[in-house]
Amino acid sequence: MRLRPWLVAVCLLGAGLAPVARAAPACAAEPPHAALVIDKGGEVLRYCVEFPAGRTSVSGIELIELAGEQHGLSYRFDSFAGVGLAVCMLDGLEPADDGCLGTPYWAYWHGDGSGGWIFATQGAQASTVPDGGVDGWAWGGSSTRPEPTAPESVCPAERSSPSPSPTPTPSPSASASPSPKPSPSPPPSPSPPPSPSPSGTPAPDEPADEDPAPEPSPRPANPAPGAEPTPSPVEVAPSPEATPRPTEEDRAAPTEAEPPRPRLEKPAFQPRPRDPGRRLDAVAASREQNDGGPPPAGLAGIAAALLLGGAATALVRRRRRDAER
Amino acid sequence: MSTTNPFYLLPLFAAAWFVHSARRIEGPGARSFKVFVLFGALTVGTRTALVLLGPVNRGSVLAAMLEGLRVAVMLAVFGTFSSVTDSWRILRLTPRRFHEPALAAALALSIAPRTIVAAARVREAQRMRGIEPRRWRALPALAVPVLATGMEEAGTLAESMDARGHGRGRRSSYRTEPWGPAAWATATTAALAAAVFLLVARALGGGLTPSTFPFVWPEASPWLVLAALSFSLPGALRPETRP
Repeated sequence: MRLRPWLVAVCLLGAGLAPVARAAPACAAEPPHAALVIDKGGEVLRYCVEFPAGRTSVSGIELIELAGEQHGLSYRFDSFAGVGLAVCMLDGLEPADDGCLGTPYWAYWHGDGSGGWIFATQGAQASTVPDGGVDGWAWGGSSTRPEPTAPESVCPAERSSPSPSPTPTPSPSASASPSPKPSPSPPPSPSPPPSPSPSGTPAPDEPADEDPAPEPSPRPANPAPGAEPTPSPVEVAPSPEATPRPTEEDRAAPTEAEPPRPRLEKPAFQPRPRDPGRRLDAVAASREQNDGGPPPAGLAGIAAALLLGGAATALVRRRRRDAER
Repeated sequence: MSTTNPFYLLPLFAAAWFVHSARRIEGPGARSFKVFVLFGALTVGTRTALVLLGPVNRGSVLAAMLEGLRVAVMLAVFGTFSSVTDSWRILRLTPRRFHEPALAAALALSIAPRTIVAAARVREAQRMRGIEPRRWRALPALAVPVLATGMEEAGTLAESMDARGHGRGRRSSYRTEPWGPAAWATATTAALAAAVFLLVARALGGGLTPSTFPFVWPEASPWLVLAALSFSLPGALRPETRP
């Protein structure tokens, strides 16, 4: 979104003269902002993050820090000499072993502007998030894309209230109501993620019941295939499972009719990672399938390189013999 | 656009090695490949040792080694270039209107062979005086005269260029050398290989910077591997004899 200079000037003037002016709806959407999507593999957090004054772009790391300031997102970075900062933990979810570098990790994606994702080729410290951009973090690996998210669904062009509503939603996963409204009766109050229990669930510990849906809403037998969620002004959209996601199979997509399964095969969709270990297992198993040894073209290249090296040594040896003669 | 993918870097290194072995010219520059490969090995070692400043694990060590390898391959290619070319002859192959920038490039490129020559001379002189230059203690005794010789040569070169009217807009007296078939073939294959590498990498990706956090086998595009290997083709060409 390109802003007219005079409009910016007016807004800045207003902000400078009276802080109250910032609350005016006209200016509310004016400061540059970007969307931050954090897909925890069942629960998707979407934040509209405003840039600091005078900035038109931030790095991916800064975007997370700003989301921490503005929306209370918890995070942890580790610095690696010569490589930079790595994102270890977002919203309480982090690799279980090997410090920051465990196998399911936070994969970094950039929005392509129309809801899709492009895998980031640079670290979050080196990347630039422009005004109106989307950054995504998906728990899993390089093949785990975040939920498709259009920028305007997180940062509506005209936000009615200046107070940003992050509303991390305990996504009710399987019980995908096609209407993108917030879930009906027990409203998922925009509670910060580390809150102990989703409203409605009596105990923080998971019940033996495998049903991850926190609300008692009767689930539709068929989650309306092909029902695209219209981007809603409030970013609650519980993402109907009808939207095809490439990693759905990897994460052991929940099936409706299935009875409770043994614990280890529990579907990856949970209201919140009460027991991360189990979920890690599921994602790690899917990653190991993807990693099937060195590629044949690479091996052929190495073999050809060895041949070239052998030819080089033979040439040198022959030349030396000729010189001695 | 750069790559840390070992499946592309190792063929590139092999191509450089092959071209050096097949096409190196007689003279002091021929040793520059060995010198630069040594520097490259040192780079890999140093870059890997830097990991100790941060968390040490498989991912960070691998990332550091691959970054070091990238620099080492670049050094090897540069060493090959100085060992197979006579920078003054290259200067004569450049079109006349690019003469001044080409002269600057040739001067810069000739630093490596000139330094090697100077080092060899100083070592010989030391040996004649009974100093064993293989010891580490002899390194300062080697470095200072080499640097002094380099400064001296640069001064002499500047004076001689000034005397010949360089940098004053006058026509130089250099005669350009015509491009023969081998020169054309070398330039064409190298340009083609580079173009294929860049275009394919841009269009199809190909894992130029593989992930090491966590380690997965880097992908390898056959096109990119072929392009990297085809840089060795000039080594199989017959050289031109100087007219």
